[in-house]
Formats: sequence, C-alpha cells, structure tokens
Amino acid sequence: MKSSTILIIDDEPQIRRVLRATLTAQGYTTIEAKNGIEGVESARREKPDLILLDMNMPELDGLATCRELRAASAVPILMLTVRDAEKDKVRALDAGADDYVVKPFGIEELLARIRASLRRTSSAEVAEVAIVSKGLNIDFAARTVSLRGGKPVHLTPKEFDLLHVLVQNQGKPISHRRLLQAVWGPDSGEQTEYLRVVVNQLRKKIEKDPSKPDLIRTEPWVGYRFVLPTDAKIRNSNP
Amino acid sequence: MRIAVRAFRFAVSLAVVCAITAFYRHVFTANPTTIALTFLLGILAVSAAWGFAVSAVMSVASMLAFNYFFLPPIGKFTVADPQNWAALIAFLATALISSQLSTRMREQADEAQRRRREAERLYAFSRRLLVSGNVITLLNAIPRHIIETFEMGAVALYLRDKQKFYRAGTLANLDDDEMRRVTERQEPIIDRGRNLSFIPVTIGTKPIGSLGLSGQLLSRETLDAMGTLTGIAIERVRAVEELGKTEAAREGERLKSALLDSITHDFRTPLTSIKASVTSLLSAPPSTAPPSRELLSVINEECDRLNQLVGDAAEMARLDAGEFELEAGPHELAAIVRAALDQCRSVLGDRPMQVELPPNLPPVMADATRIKDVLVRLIENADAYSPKDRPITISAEVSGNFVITHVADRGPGIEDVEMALIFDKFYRGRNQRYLVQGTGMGLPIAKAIVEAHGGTLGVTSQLGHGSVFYFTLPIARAGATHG
Repeated sequence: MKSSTILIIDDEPQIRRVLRATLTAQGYTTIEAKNGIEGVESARREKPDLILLDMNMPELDGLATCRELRAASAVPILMLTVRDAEKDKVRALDAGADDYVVKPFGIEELLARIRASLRRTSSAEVAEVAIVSKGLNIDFAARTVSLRGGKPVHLTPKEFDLLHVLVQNQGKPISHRRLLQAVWGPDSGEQTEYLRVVVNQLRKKIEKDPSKPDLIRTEPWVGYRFVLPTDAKIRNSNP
Repeated sequence: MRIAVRAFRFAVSLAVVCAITAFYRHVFTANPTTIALTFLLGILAVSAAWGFAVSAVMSVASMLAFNYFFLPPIGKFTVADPQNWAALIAFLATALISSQLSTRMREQADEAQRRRREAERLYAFSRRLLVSGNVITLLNAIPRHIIETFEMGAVALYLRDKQKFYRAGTLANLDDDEMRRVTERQEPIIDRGRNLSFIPVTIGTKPIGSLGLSGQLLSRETLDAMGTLTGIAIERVRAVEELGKTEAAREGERLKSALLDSITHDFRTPLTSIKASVTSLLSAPPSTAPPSRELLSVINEECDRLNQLVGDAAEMARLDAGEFELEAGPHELAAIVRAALDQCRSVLGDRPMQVELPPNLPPVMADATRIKDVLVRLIENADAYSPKDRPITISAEVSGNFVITHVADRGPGIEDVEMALIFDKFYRGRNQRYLVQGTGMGLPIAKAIVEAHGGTLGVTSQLGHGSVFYFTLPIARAGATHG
C-alpha cells in the first residue's frame, strides 16, 4: 500500500518534531511547513493526501490558510485548535476544514482522525446506498431503516434527511448551520432548537441508549458527528 | 471694651450738644428754628453712625439744652409761652423718629453688607471644596477651609457613617454629642450666648453628618448653604473616587485577562508537545515504535521550557507587584560581566565573544545578582537572534552620572515597528517566533530590573547589521557602602 503523505503546517518546531517522529513511525510520509504561506505553497507543489493545520499562527493564520487551501483542492484538512474556543471550531468547519483536534491531544485520537479522514477520501467518489451492520441497517434508495433483528423503524422525512447527511459525512463533525441548511433549506441556519428536537427523536429511534448516544454524537457548541458502528459495512452503488 | 466704646459715644454726642449750644450762645446768634434744626442735624448724624440708644439720649439732652438756653425764659427749664411747649414736643418727637429711621436704615445697609460678604465667602468656600482631590484630604480640609473663609475660631465636621470627627481651630468647645444630635434632628442649633452654631450636613434630605462652628455667628441661610455645600462636595469626591476605582479595577481585569490569554497559549504549546510525545510512546505497538529518543528529548526540552515559563511568570508577577528588593552596592561591572559569561557558557558554545571594558570604569551602584541576570538575558537574546558564527560584543562607557553597558549582536536587526513591542510581555520577534524558543518575558523582566535601579534599558538597531541593547546604571559615589 502506498504510504499517504501528510503536510504538517505549524509554527511550533517542537510540535512538528513530535508529529514527524510519530507519523513517520506509523508509515506516513511527512512534509513540514512553518507558516501558512509556506504551507499553501507546499500543498500546491507536493499534493499531500492530508493536511494537519495549526489554528494559531502568525502572519497567515490557520483559518485564512484553510480557506486558501480549500479554494485550491479538496484535500482533507484537519485543524489543530485549542480548548475553550468553540467559535474557532465552527469557523474552522465553515472555512472548509474536515475535522479538528483539540490541543493538547493524545496521539491515538489524532491518528484515528487521520485514518478516518483518509478513508473518507478513498470512498468519497462513490455514493453510499446502504449501511449494513448488526445493530443498524440503512437503505438510502428505499429510504428504510431497521435495527437489530431487522426490526423496521419509521422515520419522518426530516429525520431521514438528517440521518442521510450525517451518514454521508460519517466520522466528521458537521456544524449546526450546515445540518440545518442541508435539511431545512439554505435560508435556515439559526434555529438550532429545531435541529435539537429532530436529533433527539432520531436518537430515540435508532440509538440503543438515547441518553448515551453511540451513533449521533454531540460536538459541544459545534454540531454533531455520526460514528459508524464498528462492524458496519458500506455498500456502494458501484461496488 | 464694649462699655468703654459706648461711654465714649455718649460722651461725644453730649459734647456735640454742648458745642452747638456754645456756638449759638457766644459765636453766632440765630432764631430758635435754626438752632433746633442744627440740633436735629447732629442727632441724625449720631444715630446714623452709632444707633438709636445714643441718639435717643442725645435727643433728650438737646431738648433740655434748647429749652434752657434758647427758649424764653432763658436760663430756666420753665416754658413761658405755651406755644413753645408744642415746639419742644415737636422737636423731641422729630429727633426720636428720625434717629430711629436712620438707625434702621443703617442696620439694613449693614445687614445687606453682611449678607453680601457671607455670599462671597460661601462662593470662595465652594471653590475651595472643588479643588480637593480625594475623600480623606477633603474631609480634613473642610474645617480649615471654613475657618479661613469665614474667620471662625474653631470648626468641627462629623461624619455619621464613619463616626469620625474632623477638627480645626483653637477653641474646642464643640461638643461631640451636640454634633450627633444635630445630625439626627436635621435642625440647626444656634447658641448666641456662646457664639456656637451646629448645622446638619445633608445630601438632599439624607443627613450624612454635621458641622459645628465657633467664634462667629452667621445667618441661618448661610449656615444652611454651608451644610448643603459640604454634603455635595463630600458626595462628589466620593463619586469621583468610586468611579476611579471601578475604572482601575476594569483596566486591571483587562490586563489580567490579556496576560492569562498569553500565559495559557505559552503554557499549552509545550504541553501539547509533551502530551503528543507521551501518548505516542505509550500507545505505539512495538512494531511501529516511533524513535523514542527523539520523543523523549522533546519531552525533556519542553519540560525545561515549562520550568522557565513558570519561573519567568513568577518573576514578572513579583516585579509587577513591586515585591522585590534590591541589594544594591558598589560593584565592578567587569566582575558582573564575567559572572554572566560564566553562566552563559553552555548556551554560547563556540560563539566568539568580545568584551571591551575600559580599565578605569568606575564602580556601579547595583544589585550584582540582578544585573548579572539582566546581562544573561541580553546575551542569551543576542545569541538566539543572531547566526552562531557572528560575534557578540559587550562594551561599556561612562556617560554623565551613569555607566552605559552595550550588548551588540550582528543579527538581522529589528524593524522599527517592533522596537517598542519587544519590551512587551510575551512578545517575540515576528519572523523569529518559529525559530527561537523563549518565554517572551526575558526583555520585560530585564527592563523592569534596570528601571528599579534608576536606569534605563533600550535598543538601537539597523536592519541587516544587528542590534545593540544597552542599559544604564548609576555610578557608585565614593563613600557609598554596601547594603
């Protein structure tokens, strides 16, 4: 398997050192840039498979860099943000980032996010038509959902649309605004309470324990993230 | 004193009566009407000047003299012509009524004059009240202001919420209990017998204390105005002071939160490196073991950085709070430079160092340890911001009462816009931030230490040629001792 190339854009040399050592040991190839301008340049030249981008940098900051990168390519961008900056997370997603990791982060979490982002890109071109797992089956063409043992679940059109958007972006955090616009139309975006109601109904119907959701996870202040069951298989239209 | 004055006035008025009598008896003969009118003139003048009592006595004396010397039969108090009775009674009545009128006019003029003076004094008093800056000064100044503007003997100010008295003047017969009572009753007490007045000090209808005045009585209106003015002045200064405190508190909070932002960022960066390294080492299965030496050395270096951050932050806080003492004494700069270079040896490595100190440099008045710290920070700074093979030069010279020490590097120099910023807490050179490890507190700390010595720390720089950091220290005068 060809090793994926990861571009690290961070102004802190020590963090670059750690990431380089760890990612190289995991079999990734790393490239480094010490500021946003170098990072954009390097992304254009080297075409990495994924970009780790620090939020707080002098000169061209993380958000601006993210917009520049996104304007030029669809490469997955993982932002490194700091805690207590929920607004930054939303802005990062709005700026085109695919995901974010909060500093200080455990390396396991970072690696998991990297794997998830890379996996998504490899399957992004094909439309998902069905999710099959022990606990949850979704057939998007037939718009049917069933739980453990084939027990059918009835979803309202809004609930199904919401589930669809979540599953399409599985593993990624999706902001309230994006979910609202995807399900309620482009003029929506502020009425997060609608979203909360529908998410709660959806959780009651498909989660094993709606008070401790496994599938539809809350990203505080940001939005929701759909996590596929570990045994899930995705059937695509052109397998 | 007062009796003597009164006696003198009576004597003068009687003398006037005698003089008029003698004049018309011996110098000039006139008819009784002219003589009576002359007496009346004298009475009017006396009553205008000295009041009714004197002029009444003078009226009676004039009437008797007129009767005795000028109305027939002359030389007797009897009156021959009944018509002259009417003249005598008319004379006396006219004299008494006109002297009373003129006395009242004079009193009114006096009263108006007094009011005008009091108004002027109130105005002067209110202007003085406006000048005082803070509550404590104002409270202590109010009694003095009143004494000076109203020519009082003694004044006391009582404040109810503080239960405190502020006094000025010589006589101390202003009773504490009386002052408390006036505050509660909100009614002035005027004791004419002892020349004392007590007035409540109020804001609107709320009593806040009282004033006690001794030495002179003032009109009720003036007293009321004084009480109100005092109340307003105290309230105004309190409000201003309160406002200042809130403003200062807000500014302090703003600074604190900016500092906190900086600190959290600066602390989180090494923590992120450490956490990532540690979790990487912990979680990696043996097959994919990352180069552990590299990760361990990152952890080690970042721990040092955290330690330095903690130390610098504590030092900065101490300097900010003014909680540090200098142990200043006369020291040879050369010795301090040597100590600093010793401490920097491991950092400097092979870097060429030039020390150019004139041999006859006078000793400086300094805390040797602190100034060594300043030098170490400047040397490390020069080392961090200039290429390893370029020399760093330390030199010194005398300038007036100071010794200037320079630390010069041949680095890239500092842009003008950054010159002022580099002494700000947590600032690191714009283009250098990703190259240089530092806490961003070194220069501000060095500056604070030098300033505590009464010197200055500054920088001159030329882009492309290098920067010179310099600081001044006072020359230790002969005879100055350690300690």
